[in-house]
Amino acid sequence: MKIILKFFKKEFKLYALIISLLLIVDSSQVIIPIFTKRAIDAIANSNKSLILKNGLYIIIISAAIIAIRYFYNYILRYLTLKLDHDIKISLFNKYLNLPKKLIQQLEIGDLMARVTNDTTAVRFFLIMGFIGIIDIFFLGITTFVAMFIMNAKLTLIVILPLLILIPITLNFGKKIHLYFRKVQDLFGEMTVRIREAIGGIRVIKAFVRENFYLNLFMNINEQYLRENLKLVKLDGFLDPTINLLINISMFNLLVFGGLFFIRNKADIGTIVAFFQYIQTLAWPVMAIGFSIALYQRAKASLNRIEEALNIKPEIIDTHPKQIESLKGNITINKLSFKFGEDENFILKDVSVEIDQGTLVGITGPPGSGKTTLLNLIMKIYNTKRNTINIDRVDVFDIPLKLFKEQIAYVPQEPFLFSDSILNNIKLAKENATTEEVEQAAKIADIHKDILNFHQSYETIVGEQGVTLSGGERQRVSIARAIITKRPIMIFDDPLSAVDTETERNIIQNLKEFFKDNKITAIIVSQRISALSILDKVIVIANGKILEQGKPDELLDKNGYYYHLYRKQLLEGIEV
Amino acid sequence: MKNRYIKRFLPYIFKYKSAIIFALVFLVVASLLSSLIPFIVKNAIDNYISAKNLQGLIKLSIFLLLMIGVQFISKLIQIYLTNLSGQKIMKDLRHDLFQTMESFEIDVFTKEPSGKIITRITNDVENMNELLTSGIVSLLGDMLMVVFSIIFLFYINLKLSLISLIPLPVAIIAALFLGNRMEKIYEKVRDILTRMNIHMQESLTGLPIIQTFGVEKTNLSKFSNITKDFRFTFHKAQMLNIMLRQSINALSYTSIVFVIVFGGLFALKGTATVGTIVAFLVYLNQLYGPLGDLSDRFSILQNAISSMAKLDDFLTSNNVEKEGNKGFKKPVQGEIELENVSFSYDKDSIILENINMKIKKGEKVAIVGFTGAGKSTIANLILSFYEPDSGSVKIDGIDTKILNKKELRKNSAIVLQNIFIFKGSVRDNIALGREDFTEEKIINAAKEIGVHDFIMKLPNGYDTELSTEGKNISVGERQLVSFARALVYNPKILILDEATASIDTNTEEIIENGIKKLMKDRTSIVIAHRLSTIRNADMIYVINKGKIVESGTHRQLMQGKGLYYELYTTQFKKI
Repeated sequence: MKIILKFFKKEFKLYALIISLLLIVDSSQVIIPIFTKRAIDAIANSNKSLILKNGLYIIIISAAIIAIRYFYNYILRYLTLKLDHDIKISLFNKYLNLPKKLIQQLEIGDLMARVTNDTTAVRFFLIMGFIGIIDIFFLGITTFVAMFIMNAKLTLIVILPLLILIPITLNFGKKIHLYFRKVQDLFGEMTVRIREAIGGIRVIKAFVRENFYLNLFMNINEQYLRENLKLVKLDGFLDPTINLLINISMFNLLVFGGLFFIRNKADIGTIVAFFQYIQTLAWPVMAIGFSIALYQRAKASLNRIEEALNIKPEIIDTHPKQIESLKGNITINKLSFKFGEDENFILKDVSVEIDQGTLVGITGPPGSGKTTLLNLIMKIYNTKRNTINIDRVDVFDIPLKLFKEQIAYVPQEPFLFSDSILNNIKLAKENATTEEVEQAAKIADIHKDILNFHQSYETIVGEQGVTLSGGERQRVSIARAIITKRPIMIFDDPLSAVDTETERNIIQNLKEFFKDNKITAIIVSQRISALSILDKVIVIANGKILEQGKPDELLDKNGYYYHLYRKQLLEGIEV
Repeated sequence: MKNRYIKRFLPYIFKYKSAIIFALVFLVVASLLSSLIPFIVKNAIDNYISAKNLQGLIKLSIFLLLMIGVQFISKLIQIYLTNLSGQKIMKDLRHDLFQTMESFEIDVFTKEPSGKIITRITNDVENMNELLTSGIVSLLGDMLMVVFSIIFLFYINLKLSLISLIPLPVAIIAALFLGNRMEKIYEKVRDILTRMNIHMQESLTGLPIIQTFGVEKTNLSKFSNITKDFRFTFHKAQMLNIMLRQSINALSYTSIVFVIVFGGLFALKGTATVGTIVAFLVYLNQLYGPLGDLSDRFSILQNAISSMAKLDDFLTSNNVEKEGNKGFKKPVQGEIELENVSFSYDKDSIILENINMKIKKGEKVAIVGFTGAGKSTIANLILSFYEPDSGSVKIDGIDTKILNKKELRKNSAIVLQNIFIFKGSVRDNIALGREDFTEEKIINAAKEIGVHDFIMKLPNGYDTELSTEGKNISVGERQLVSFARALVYNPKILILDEATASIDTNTEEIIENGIKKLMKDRTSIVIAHRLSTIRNADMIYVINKGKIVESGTHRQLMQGKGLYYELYTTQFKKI
């Protein structure tokens, strides 16, 4: 709610204007039936000019009502959309700066829902809820007073059924919201099931499991039906009930109004005016439940929005040192790491030296801690101080912003934006020249492939354009990294989908490029053909360093690397 | 609405015909009673209240109360029955859509974004429900009300009706005209929202890339352009909506003033009564009320009809796998023969050209070649995911064009490079819902393949919950799970499509024996670019640019010193 209150304060004048306009409209609405009553009473007195005069008054007032309504709606909606826009921007800006660790934990769909669905709930409350609340107090009370002055007894009798509406709408709002959320959840689950079946369609077809997954889907489908029926049963109750109570109110008016008229306690004009008042009063009475429901929904949504805005990254600059740029001498000293107190060690006692300008490989079985080590070097997880140093400075003393600008990262599963290949490559270097782009593409051995696409570098990637193979995507994502010429580059098994020969070419190219530019690079790979041409190889298994050194030296150690080598290499020679 | 839609969807409605017919009957009753109530009010005022006949008033009131009650109940029943049948029809539709989706050719899933398919089964079905509830039933209800009310108005006072209804056609025209413009601008709003979602989805998925390359600002400004667009377009749309509603309000006020002034004047002449005026006021409220929603209703209807067209296309799609009716002769041998097979995914680029292969029962065959040479396509053809452009693929001598696909796939298993993981436990992912696979059977399979120890290392062993797409285990671990799956399904034909790409060599060694067991007595095809895995194959086919360029055993090919030799030696070349 803080966001809204702050906004009210900031736009105080405009909101004051809106409220005063609403008050004018509400009071005008109360006046109309008074003129109606006078016109009707004029019939009994056969006063023609009085009828015409009151008709004219109604026209003038209603014209004013309509003009003012348009005007305040304009401002109110303008303001609300301004706030809506601000919230969307600050949320998205927050997301863009979330640490990687948190992104992995959070659901993208959920983050998106905060920007779209939750802001919609806030918007609804700030428009309909806002008008509703003012109408409840002002239109509701003034109408009641006007009626009361005309005929107090009749007012109480007529209003009674409408009052029953208040608890009903209150309860309805709450319950419907509850059911609605259940239905929404199931809708989400249904979507998950379908998405899963689409993603796994090859497996489903290959193993002929169509019926099983259809049944899984139908389970949710049935549940969705059941919950939906509960919802519509309740939802379908509201409108007829409102209608019923208004009808009963009219019935009371007719019976008791008639009775009072017969006993000369009311005139006919009052009865007619009351018919109009009942119609006016129906809205503020309904608005009570309605506004409360909107308020509750908006409050829940605002909580979710504020929660997202308040996410605090675990790693922040504490005492950053003044550093201009990094050279790329990485020293890891007795690094041990686990995710939680009760968890097993992912890395244990890891010590590594990586010199500026060298190309170092990491290999080891799956789950051995390779990716965790990369993430630690990239400062994604928190760990003990002074275990990871770059240029003899603890990574946690290097300003985050600078740190990010000095390291380029290529993940194993490449990500390309649905944009042209050109824009994908020069993502981090917008002003890159054609030569620079082509040079990067040549190093990544993708230049020729790109020229073969319909629109070469302008070819759009993704759903709207060409679908690249896994290997092509990986190579584009390598080109994107090398164009930055950042002093440290980290590659997490970036060529797993490329055949061996191409991989070897690329690594050879990279090696020269890194040497020329004094870039320090770490590359995870499983292939001896790639590892054997690197400056240094580190073997990790079960979180420990088994061996490290120059590829040739490792061969002599008769250990894991040698084994790997024999397996992949010597088999061929035996033939 | 086209005839074929009726033909396609009528059976769904027909299934619940009695509920729908009852709903329509109650709809007519409720509408008739709603328009009868003001007429009774008029009679009460004119005949009993004005005449001061209390007994008559009470008698009529009891009758009125009865009508109010019956109207309420009819409305409740009508709404419930409509919703009930609507929800059940949706459930049936979703079932058929999901089933149709599962029978689509693989090609559909590579070409169509999954979001589009999901939208068909979820949102489009919801939209279509509106056709029944909002469209046919509510619109019909409103129309009945209008017709009944106008009949009563004319019956009560023809002259006053004609005068007071003058603004009504104007209001209808305004509603349709402004509604049409509104529909267009709301479509724009929806487009902007779609763009906003696409941008967020993509940015959040690629967030690590955005962050490492420091392009948060450019990304945010792109997003801000979209939200700005949303802000102003949505404001325009809302103001148009306000204009529409206020125009209708203005016209409704005009009608009310006409009733009061002309009704009053007529009353002076004795051609109208106070009761007439009251009845007219209530009727006018009933007539103008639905008009504000008229354009909403129409746009919902339009939406529903466009969804219906899409669902019709979906259900009658030609891209459904054509199921051959020929079965295997028992026992299935697993002999595979490719005869002059040529294939292309699109006309531009030929993937396979004139491929001939003959694989006998129990033989192990390897297919090698560069990335993108067409290796995986052969697997797709054997499993009949695609049909060759020319030539034939025969299993046990039966052309896959006429062979029953389910039977073919029940006798085969494939392990893919990109393993899809379903939401559920490791066990679920091995069994894929086969109830006849006991705990023992699964564990035995895992032990045989050599992945049991790996699985036991996971936090909850076989019960470890895997998230969709298996993000909580590594790519290598995912592949191990799918090996166990392939074994437990006990296929005659086994295809390993780059199945060990992400497993490191040492782990591969561990499960190598397992793979040997897996291949024993099975016709197996191994596709690999890591050549060490295929040395023992009975036959190796080397594919280059869609053609078989060499074939033979490892020894023969090495002696031939052709492409295979080159591939093999470069892979293990040492600097």
